[in-house]
Amino acid sequence: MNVFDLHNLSIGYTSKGERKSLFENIKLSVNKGEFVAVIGANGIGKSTFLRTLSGFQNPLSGSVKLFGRELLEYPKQELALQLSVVLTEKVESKLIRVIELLSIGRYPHINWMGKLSAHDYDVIDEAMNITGISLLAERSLFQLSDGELQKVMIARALVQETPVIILDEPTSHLDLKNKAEVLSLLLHLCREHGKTILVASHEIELALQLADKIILMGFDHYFFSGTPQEVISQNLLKKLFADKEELIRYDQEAGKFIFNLRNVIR
Amino acid sequence: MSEVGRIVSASKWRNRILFSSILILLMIAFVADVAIGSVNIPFAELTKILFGKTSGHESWNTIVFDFRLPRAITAVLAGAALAVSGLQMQSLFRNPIAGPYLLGVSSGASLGVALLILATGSLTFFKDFIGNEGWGMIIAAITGSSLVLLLMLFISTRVNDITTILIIGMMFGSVVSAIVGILEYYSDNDSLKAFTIWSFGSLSGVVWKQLHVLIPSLIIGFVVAFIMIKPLNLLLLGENYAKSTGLNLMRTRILLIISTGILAGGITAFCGPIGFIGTAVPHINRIIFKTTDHRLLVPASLISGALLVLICDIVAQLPKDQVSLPINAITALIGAPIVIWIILSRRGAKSFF
Amino acid sequence: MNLSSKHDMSLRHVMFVILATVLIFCCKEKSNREQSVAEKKEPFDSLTQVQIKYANGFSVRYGDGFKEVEVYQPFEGSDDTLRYFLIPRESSAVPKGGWTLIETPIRFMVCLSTTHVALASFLDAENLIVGISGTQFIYDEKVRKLIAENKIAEIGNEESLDQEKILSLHPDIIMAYHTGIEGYDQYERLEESGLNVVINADFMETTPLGLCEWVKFLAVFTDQEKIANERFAVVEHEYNAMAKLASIPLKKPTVFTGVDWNGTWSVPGGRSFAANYLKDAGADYVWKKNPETGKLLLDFEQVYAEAADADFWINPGSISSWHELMEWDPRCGNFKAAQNRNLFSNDVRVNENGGFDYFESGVTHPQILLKDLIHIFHPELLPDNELVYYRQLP
Repeated sequence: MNVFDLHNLSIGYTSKGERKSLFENIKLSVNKGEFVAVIGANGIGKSTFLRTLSGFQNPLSGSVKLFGRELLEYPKQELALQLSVVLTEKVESKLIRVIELLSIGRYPHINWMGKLSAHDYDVIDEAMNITGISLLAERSLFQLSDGELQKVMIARALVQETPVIILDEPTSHLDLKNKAEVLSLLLHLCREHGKTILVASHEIELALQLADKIILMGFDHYFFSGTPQEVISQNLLKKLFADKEELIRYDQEAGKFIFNLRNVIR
Repeated sequence: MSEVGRIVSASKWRNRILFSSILILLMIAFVADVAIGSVNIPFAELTKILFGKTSGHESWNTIVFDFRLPRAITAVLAGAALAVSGLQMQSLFRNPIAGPYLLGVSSGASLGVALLILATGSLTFFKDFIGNEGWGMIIAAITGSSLVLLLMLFISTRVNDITTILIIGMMFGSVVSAIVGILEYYSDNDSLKAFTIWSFGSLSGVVWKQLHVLIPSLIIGFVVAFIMIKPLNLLLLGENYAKSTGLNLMRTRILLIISTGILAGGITAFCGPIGFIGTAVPHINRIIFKTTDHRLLVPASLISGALLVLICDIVAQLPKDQVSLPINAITALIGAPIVIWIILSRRGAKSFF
Repeated sequence: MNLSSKHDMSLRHVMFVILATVLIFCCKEKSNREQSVAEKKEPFDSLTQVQIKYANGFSVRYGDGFKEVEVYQPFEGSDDTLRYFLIPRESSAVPKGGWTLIETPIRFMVCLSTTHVALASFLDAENLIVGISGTQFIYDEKVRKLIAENKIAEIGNEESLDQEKILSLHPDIIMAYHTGIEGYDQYERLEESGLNVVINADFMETTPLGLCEWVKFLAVFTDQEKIANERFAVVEHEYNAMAKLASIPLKKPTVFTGVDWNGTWSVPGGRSFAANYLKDAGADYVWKKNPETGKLLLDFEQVYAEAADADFWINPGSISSWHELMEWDPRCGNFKAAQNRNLFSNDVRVNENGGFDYFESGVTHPQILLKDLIHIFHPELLPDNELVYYRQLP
């Protein structure tokens, strides 16, 4: 069974009663253990896409199936056992300590009283080890750097013990070292722990190297899903840019973006 | 045991000690509140009466059972209910200055009582008892606050943004207060005095018969509050993360509003509006217990709220030959310096949550 | 308004000169009232002058062709004195500074309190009233008739007097009272529009005869001193006789008043109006030793401690039955007076809108009120008496 099955999916939003669709007739599947990178320009609709896949937003039309079942039919509690998220927004509480935040991540697994068992604490321990934040357990959030915060939120998603994790730009505030660490951690989770991961990211060059599948969202409602090789060989990266005159282009050989100096010097 | 488990256990110990200390203080304060009063009853006699035997002085028995005991119990209930509902409001709205009266609960109750006392106005009031006058005020207050709350519930199912709901609630409160002001303006002296006395808040007006209604109602409110502990913790993450961790946002809002309505509305109906406790006690607890975890904060607010109101009631009765000071004044006079001191002694954290 | 007495001397002389001049040049008939002047102690002429024995709130001085009325302490805590200079309408005498000139006899009067109406009714002067604040509360038959015939207008209540209405009535005086509340009294505006406001401080009296004696206050304005003296003398005589009667029994029952509001109880002080009534009626007021003339605010507990064994409970707020009392606050049932159903309230004579005659004719008939109270406390003294204002609560 596929993890995700999208069929005839249209995503977008309604504003003042008007339907504004960003992308239509999306058809794709995500398999277990895949590391999927979603790339596209700012505002193109990456967040909308991920929100639709994680149940935060309704599709304009079409269906999203998670493990063969319509996403919208999942009761909140059950969905929380299948899918966890890491969002761009910051956690509201600043005084909360890492250990407390991670404990909350266990809630879908424990009863209404909120009492954690020894097993729950083991899971938390493990998650902190994986993300390398074991020493931060007693710190309050306001005492953490951006990079540490990001890792904590990933640890929280791990603690929730879901087969699917969806992350929206988890590396945007990080320096290069941390970017690399986080992305390779995510890949590790897919390979070693069998998780299915969807990441929206601006790290196109890194994503192309690591991802199993690329979802590319471009201008003029261009939607593509396929392997990184396909993206490169079909020169699809230019779809990321609006203007015809390319300021930068992707060099296949070098595996990176290069300025077209002609267009730069004006 | 895992490393994490060990850390958790360590802080548990500290909190257990703190909790027990407050509980012990609470019990001491309760006895002190019963012991103090305008009539001097020797402590030995007092303990005798409390343990069921009657003292030689008939009036002392009556004083302890019919005057002091209900007053002390009401103080405990008021403190517990207001602190817990204040905590709920602060966590629901993620706003440090939120309190139990945020959604216009107090204004609604005031409006109900004002309509009863002021609008029936003038000397007709003295003659015009609608059945049972003692219950009249309480029913009026409950009706008033329930109506406002229902309105807020309705709004919160329609409006998504929590800050919008907060502002609407405050505006409701303002409108209702304005209406009360108009009623006050046009009423005669006697009615005005009666209403003003009500609005000072009072712990000594509650009798056993009323406690038989108040206590069960509050218990319902407390039970809901305890059930809401997990959702309140989830809300610490923000609404989106909370939803992704299984929170049903609408149901949580509704239940929290209902619980606050019962707790804050019930106390206001029977005691009049009592300020400060609901807003201050949650902050005090967050700092003393060094936690944001509602599993600790809810019961802590319950007992520390009760303790604080008992202390205020004791202070209010200190001026011996005069009538007791109004409870509202004392809660502010005692509470404000405590909060200021606590807030200033925080280090580092710029946030309240 | 506050002249020191030092000035009185020289101004009085000036006044005299003016008066003399007026008399010489205008050939007006001499007022057949006054005999002598200022410093000399004049013999009291009961046909034309009043003498104040019980009231502390006002004083009257008679001069040649004028009367000087002073009202002291118009409200609790005030040290104001209000001064009114009364002259006959034809006279063109001029008052000293700080004195309000009033021409007598007044023809039209507006009353802000139902008590003032009672004073007028006592003197059969109710026809002088053209406006009342609170016409719906009037109990007096004669006055109600006048109201029904539209001869007396409603002028609004305390906070919102209908100024235009009042002006249209052309009253000679508006009898009013100070509340002492900042910004509450509207008399300045009335005075600015040229109306004469006369402040009545009758409610400040602490004795029943002192309060009743304010009929003489009104009489000075209506030139009815003779009637006032005659009728008040009757009241005075009977009241004192009753009080003497009530002082005979050695055993005095204990009594207290009021009811609790949310745990707070307002009781009259030991030297207050209510306390004096109770004393004259031969009862022992629980707080008789207290020196206050106003009210005391006490905890319910305190009141209970002192009054638990009192024999009688008078005026428990606006409660009208024992049942109602229990609903109001069940703890009231702990009082011996409540258990013995010795509850009495002055709500017998109340009109359909809640107006208490206790505050109307009760003011001018203290002897009847006193008889009521004596009947309650010492029924054996007045076996044939029937209660008029008070009743025992069921």
